Amino acid sequence: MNRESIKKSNSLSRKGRRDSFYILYLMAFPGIAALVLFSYVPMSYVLIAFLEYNPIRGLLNSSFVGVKNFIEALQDYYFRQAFINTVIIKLGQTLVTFPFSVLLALFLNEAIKPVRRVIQTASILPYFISWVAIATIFRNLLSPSGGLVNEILITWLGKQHPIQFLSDPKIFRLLIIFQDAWKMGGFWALIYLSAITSIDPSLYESAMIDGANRWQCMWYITIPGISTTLSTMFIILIGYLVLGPFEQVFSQYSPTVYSTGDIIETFTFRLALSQQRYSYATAVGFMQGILALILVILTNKIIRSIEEGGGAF
Amino acid sequence: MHSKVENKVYSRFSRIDLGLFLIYGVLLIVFVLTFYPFFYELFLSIMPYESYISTPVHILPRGFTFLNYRRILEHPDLLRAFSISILRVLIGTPLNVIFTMMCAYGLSRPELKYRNFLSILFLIPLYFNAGMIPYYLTIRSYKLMNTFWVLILPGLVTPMWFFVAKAGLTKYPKEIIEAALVDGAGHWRIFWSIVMPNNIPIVSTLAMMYGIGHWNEYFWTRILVNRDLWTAPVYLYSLLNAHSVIQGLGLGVRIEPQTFLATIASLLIIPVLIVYPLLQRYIISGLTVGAIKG
Repeated sequence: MNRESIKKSNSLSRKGRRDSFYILYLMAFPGIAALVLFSYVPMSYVLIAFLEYNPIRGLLNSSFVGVKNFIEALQDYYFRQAFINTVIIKLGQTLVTFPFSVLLALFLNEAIKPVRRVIQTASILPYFISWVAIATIFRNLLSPSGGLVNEILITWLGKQHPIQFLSDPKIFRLLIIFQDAWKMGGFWALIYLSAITSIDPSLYESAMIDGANRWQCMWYITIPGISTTLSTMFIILIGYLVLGPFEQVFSQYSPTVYSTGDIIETFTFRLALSQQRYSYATAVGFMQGILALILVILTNKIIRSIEEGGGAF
Repeated sequence: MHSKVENKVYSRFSRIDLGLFLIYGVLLIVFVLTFYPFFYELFLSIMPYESYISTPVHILPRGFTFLNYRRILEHPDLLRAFSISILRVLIGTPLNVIFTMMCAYGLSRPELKYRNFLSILFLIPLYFNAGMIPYYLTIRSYKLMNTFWVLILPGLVTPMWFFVAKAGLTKYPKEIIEAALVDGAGHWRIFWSIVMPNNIPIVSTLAMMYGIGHWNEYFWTRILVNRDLWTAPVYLYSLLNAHSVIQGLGLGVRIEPQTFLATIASLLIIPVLIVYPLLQRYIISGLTVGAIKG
């Protein structure tokens, strides 16, 4: 009797377990479905890079052209220009933003708490603001007619002509590079700062007793203390070298700055949505995706060898 | 002897002071450079037309008016754009948070078969994406173009925030869930009455980041829906590149393009400023997990 009831309750609980087990799948299902529908199904559309896709004829009736689109892209002057621009801009952004944010973190670490809090609050704010609003702010500040910077240059400093910050190709690229430090610097500094706070404080105390000054503490304790985080972050950033800052450029560029500011993403966008060259644009995007994949995997391997137990993600 | 010691103390002090001077100087410059542009944008938006016109260099606020805001919010197109933006945040964010948490909970339970495979499914899109055109054609094939849901569904569960949620839930003590299971509670009930209320920091991080994402996104909205469904940033984007549009809106009277753009941008910035204290609190917990470990 007793044994039977135990058996019964056991089988009940097993049934209950199985039921709740299905519930788990049901709970995970919407997210997985969205992922498959919007991240994996598009991957199958990569196929059109090998076709001469015609939206009217559809996928099945478009003719197969092999790697023609890829070869055409490699010979395309404007694609090469966009590719070079992307790498220059990303490299520039990395080389400016990275040291800037490390320095900001180091300096914030030295400041007294209320100051640190105020500066942090101000410096992370741009990270949360839409690129469109940022573009508007910079337009307002830099516009040749009515922009604050040009108003100062002309009215106070006696310059004859306004500087065309947003339509001069040379200045535009520099603007895009330094703007990244402005928008993202505070955010990255926050990450480095949280790495700094995990350094053992007794290291500083004993260094102070030995007579080390502020800069020596920074150089011999803080920087080595966060070196793993720093190298990991730097390598991650290098891994994304061929992925351009699309929203940033798209919200601010214009035909006059294509020669220095056009990146692969904006180039692809124009090919597809204003020229309807879907297959060619897909081929360009696909090449970029593959190149990015290779770079990220490669850099992840390097990170793994630096720190035991895993790379980014 | 005495003076030597004093000298040493003095020199050390002065060196530290100089260092501090440099540090606070740099921090002050960073503060001005990041804070001033927002300040500038906000005071332009409340500057009356007369004082704008009569000022040669607009470096400090002069005068005060809400007229610019009134003009914009009275305009049907802009009012609609802001309403859609707000709707998108209010409808999209809870769905994002709930489904991301459910998904993370499901995939963090050891009894779920294939959970490693399913996690890898979320990992791959972080490394490779098909590109703009395949995505566009996919959305088109689903007949989602020009619907409100195209603003919500594609990003329902983002890999990045999925991993943040999963990392957070993995830290949550398993014994509590096991005990509830033994007591006969189902996973559905455990999720709603134990997991969700006890992981408020994760839930808040997700809500903040998804919410900000909805509020700020402009590119795909511009591509995938027509003017009737444009959100505020899309509208602002279209105005940025066409001053003629500003005249076309019938706002040309006594409103400067500079002030006009500043007012719309301020309307995008102010809501972020309002939730900013919350944002700052949760960003550290969310992003140190997300960006460094994932």
